[in-house]
Amino acid sequence: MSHLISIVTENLPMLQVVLPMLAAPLCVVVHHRRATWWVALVVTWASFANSVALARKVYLEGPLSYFVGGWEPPWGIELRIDELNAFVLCLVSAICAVVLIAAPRSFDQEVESDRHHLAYAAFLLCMTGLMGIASAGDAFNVFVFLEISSLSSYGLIALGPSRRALSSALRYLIVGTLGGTFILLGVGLLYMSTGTLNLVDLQQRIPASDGHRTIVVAMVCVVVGACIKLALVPLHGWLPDAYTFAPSVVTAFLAATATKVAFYVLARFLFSVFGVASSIDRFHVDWVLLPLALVAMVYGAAAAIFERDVKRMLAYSSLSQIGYMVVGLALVTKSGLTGGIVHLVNHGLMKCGLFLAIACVVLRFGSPHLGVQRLGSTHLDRLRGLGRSMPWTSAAFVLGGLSMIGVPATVGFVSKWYLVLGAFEAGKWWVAALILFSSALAIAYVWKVVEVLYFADPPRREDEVGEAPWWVLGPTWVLVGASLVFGVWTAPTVRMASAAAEVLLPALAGAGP
Amino acid sequence: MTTWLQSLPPGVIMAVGGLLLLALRGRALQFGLVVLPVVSYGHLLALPAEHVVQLTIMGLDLVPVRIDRLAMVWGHVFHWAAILSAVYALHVQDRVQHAAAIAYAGSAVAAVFAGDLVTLFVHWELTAVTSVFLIWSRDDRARKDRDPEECYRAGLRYLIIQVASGVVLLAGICLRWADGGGLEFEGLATGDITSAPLWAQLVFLAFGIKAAFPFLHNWLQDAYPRGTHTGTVFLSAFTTKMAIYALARGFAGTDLLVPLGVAMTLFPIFFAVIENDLRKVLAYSLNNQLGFMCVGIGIGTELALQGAAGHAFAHILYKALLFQSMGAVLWSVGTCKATELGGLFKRLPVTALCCMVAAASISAFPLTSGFVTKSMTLSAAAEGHMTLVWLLLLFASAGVLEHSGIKIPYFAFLAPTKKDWSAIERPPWNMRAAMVTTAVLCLGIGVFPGVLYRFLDFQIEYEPYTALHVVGQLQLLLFATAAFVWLVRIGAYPHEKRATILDFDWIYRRALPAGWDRVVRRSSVFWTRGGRLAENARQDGLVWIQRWVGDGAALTQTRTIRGIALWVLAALAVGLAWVFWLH
Amino acid sequence: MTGREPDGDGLRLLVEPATTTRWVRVLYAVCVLLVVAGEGLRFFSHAFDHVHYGFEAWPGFYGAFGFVVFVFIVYCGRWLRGVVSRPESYYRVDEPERSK
Repeated sequence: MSHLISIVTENLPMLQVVLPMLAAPLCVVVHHRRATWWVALVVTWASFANSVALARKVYLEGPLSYFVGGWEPPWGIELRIDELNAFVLCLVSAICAVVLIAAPRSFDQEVESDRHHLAYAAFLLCMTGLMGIASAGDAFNVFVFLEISSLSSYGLIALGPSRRALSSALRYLIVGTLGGTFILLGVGLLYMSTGTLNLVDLQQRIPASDGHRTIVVAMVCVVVGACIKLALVPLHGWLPDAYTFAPSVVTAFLAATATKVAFYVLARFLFSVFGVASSIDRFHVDWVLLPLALVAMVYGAAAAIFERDVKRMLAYSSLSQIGYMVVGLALVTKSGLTGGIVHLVNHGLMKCGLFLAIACVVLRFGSPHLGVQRLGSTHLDRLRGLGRSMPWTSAAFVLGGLSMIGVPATVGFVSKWYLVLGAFEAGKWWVAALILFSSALAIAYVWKVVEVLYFADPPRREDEVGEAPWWVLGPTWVLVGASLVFGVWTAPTVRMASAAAEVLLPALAGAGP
Repeated sequence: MTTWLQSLPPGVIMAVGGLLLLALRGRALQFGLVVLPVVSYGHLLALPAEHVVQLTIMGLDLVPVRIDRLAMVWGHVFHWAAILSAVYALHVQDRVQHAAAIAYAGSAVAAVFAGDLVTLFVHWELTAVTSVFLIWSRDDRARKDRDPEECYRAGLRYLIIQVASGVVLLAGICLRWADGGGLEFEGLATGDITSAPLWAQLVFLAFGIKAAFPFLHNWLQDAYPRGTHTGTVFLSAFTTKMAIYALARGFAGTDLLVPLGVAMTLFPIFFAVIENDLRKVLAYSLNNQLGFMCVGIGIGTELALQGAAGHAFAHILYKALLFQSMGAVLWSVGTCKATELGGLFKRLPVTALCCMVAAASISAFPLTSGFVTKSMTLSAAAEGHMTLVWLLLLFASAGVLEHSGIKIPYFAFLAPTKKDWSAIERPPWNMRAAMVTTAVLCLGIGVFPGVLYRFLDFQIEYEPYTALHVVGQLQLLLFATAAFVWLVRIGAYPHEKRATILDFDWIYRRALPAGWDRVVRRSSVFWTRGGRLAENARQDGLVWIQRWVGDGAALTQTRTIRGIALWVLAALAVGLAWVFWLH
Repeated sequence: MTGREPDGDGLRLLVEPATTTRWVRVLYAVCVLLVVAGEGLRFFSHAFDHVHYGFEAWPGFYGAFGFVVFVFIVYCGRWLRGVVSRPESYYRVDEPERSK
């Protein structure tokens, strides 16, 4: 028995990736709607426990290296877990675990019943990909896992009830493939000029090549590729439609994980692989990223104000929030990076909660299978007076919205606090001002929904609906609750984020919080 | 021994219990409404007179409870006001309104006993978000004066300004903390505020918004007349006086408060003369009273601070009584517009008498609570040799008589009218009981000032009833009354008129939006290069922004794969150009 | 006094009935008495010995101050009404439109 336990504990880094990967074909074989869900549920929760245990280990003992099949790095595949990706892994697996609880009820409504097992399989594959990206220790596997997660997410989006889900998935497929190709190109160029794919080796060899033209092109390719997956304005074109037309649960899952992992890739390559000396000091990537991020921050929030479909509004709000994260990265200060990384988790929690609240609404408003309709079930006008008929869902939405604004005692405040601190550290007070401005815009779009929920009269009597089932409401409240808890009890998230920031900016360690 | 009850901040029983009221109905709701403030007061009285509770959360040293002499003044009167207002509101069957009112009172009390700025901030914002429901709630009795749409918008403006005050406060706290300063809420600045650090100025501004400084005051006159007939009674007691407490605690002796306070005592007088809505007159009058307190705090001597505290104490009671009597009129008649009222004395004698007691108190007639408290501020100004300030305050005292002392009771209860009031309902027993109790308190304080001074543990001996003071004050008030009579007789006194009186809020309700519209229209003409397109573009300023940021906007061709691919290519090209340029 | 027609029915109580006139006379009489009382204080007590300002001791200072100020305020109010008074529906007309 103890032998078994030691096998498990030794293989933790691999298990969290392999478990969902093996479970995915199992789902297809099992085929039964509820049974596949059980398989997926057990696997995701096991992965979640796994990544928490792993994170604990990393914080106590330092970074871990795992050699797949016992082959050592230059030849074999390495999984490397440090403070940064342990944090990302925790987020991804936690979101998967929580979202999956809500999945069956929501899928019943939005996905044809003979495709549930495929949905779960794709879900698990996507999770495999995301976990893989976050734990891979070499550049090529980052690409491989990126493709796994991307391909399965195209499938997930295409499962959406409206016919436009297909076209949005297709668009995402083409654009996502472009992004993937760029990353592959970059990885290839890196291999060509350094002769290695291992991230740590790359980190050591790149400075020696001293801005070799091939490496510079590789950097551009990787950054553009990551920004596409990250949906940084102006490369965000795929995102609003994909989030709007995917099944609600899938949207909640992808919004909280996929872009976050892309952010991880960007940060990892810029700061660790290419190194601050090359990417920032020499080629000033931050000078390009910072304006784009600021535009994203303001544009996303402004666009959200004018959007009448709540799901789409949240998608635009995601663009804005992605902007915050990249701002944190592009400030290149300890506090800023801490803010960006902590926002990665914080935004994951609150946006996932908000999208699940939307899932509750969709669940209650009958079938959205009507396809392209004038008033989708998430249109603002359908939410009139919902505060009375669905008090819990509405309250969850309001709390998530408060967090989105950055009201104190919510996670949104914690992130913005560090971002603003970082802006001042970098001597860029105008960035701080723009962050506050964008928060003010967030008040506008959140209030717009609150007004409709609580102050508008329900349109017709027969539209009176009951509260959503607790199977969906529960996970919603878990996430919303988490976004309040971590807004007050900031120690765990901030400490993990600042440790991660230290990994990325070792030179600046000691400065900041 | 420190039990958990001792570490429980005063007022939290109301703040949390108020939310529980949401679950109650009927008798239980009424019971809870009155019992909660009583229990909360009992809890406060059971705590030691000097008492501090400390707590460390996430590295912040918080002081959720700090009880001392100054805070106790507000602790007492806030509870009195909460209990009286609760009794006054007993007949209303609206649990949202009751829950909001009690939670509001509770957080105001808790704010007063906050020993650090973070705790203060939390309660500061809680009072904002709870009190707005007193403006938004339905009130079937006041339908004529409270158009739902207008109340909603006024509430929204109120909420925005109140929350903004909290945000400014928070910004100040963050700045101070980032500078390595502590969080203690005590003596934040004194003397010249303009040379104080930025954080102190921000905190001062935050307090000033809620204390209705000139140009920051309009939320008061905008929102309070739109509260429900019981809600405004609650509103009048807490928010502004909490701000006065905060100023007394943080900015005693700040010079700027003196001119600000004087300005606050003066300008509302003139607006009050011509305002038709009597509850709005009271809102202006409230602003004027806050001015007296600000002057006292600005002078900053022990006598002046004591005067400000005593004045706040007495003021909360008589101002609540004035709003109670106007609430009773609103309940009975359905409106508080002076043009619609008059001659109600016969039908509502109790209300009329109580209103007159309050009017006499606010005008500071001898034997009323105003006389024994307000004069301290004037004496302090005189002792500080501030002749001009003293004269202007005296001027303002005559002004108070005009709008609160004469105008309110006269136009509501005495002015002749052709209307027949015999059919209107008299206010229910609980409203009358609350009014009579408050009136007795106003008179009691006036007759036995020593009891009040001892109760509030004042450190300086002050004797209001000197022959000169009594005679002088009576001269001032009665000659002014004679002037009123004379003006009425010669027909010079302005008649009440239905009107909207513009104040500074015109800037943000009319001028700025109109100016913005114009700017946007102009620029849309510019952008679209042509009159024909301009016609389409000028419909609404927002359309223009939408065109740039809305779905499928010009900024990004998001809908087509071709568009996205072009952007990707552009990004790649720019990226490559960038690095090779730097290469 | 009775020859003057009050301009509006709002303020007639103070003008018409005889009782009101009597009250008004009482008021005027009390005012006079107060001035007398003030002068009495000057001669029979030391009340005026420690006033803060010299002008406080002028005969009837407070009364005159109150009267003048009151009249001034009312006339200022009349002037102000001309400047800032608008129809009652002034804000109501446009606001709902703007929010859309």
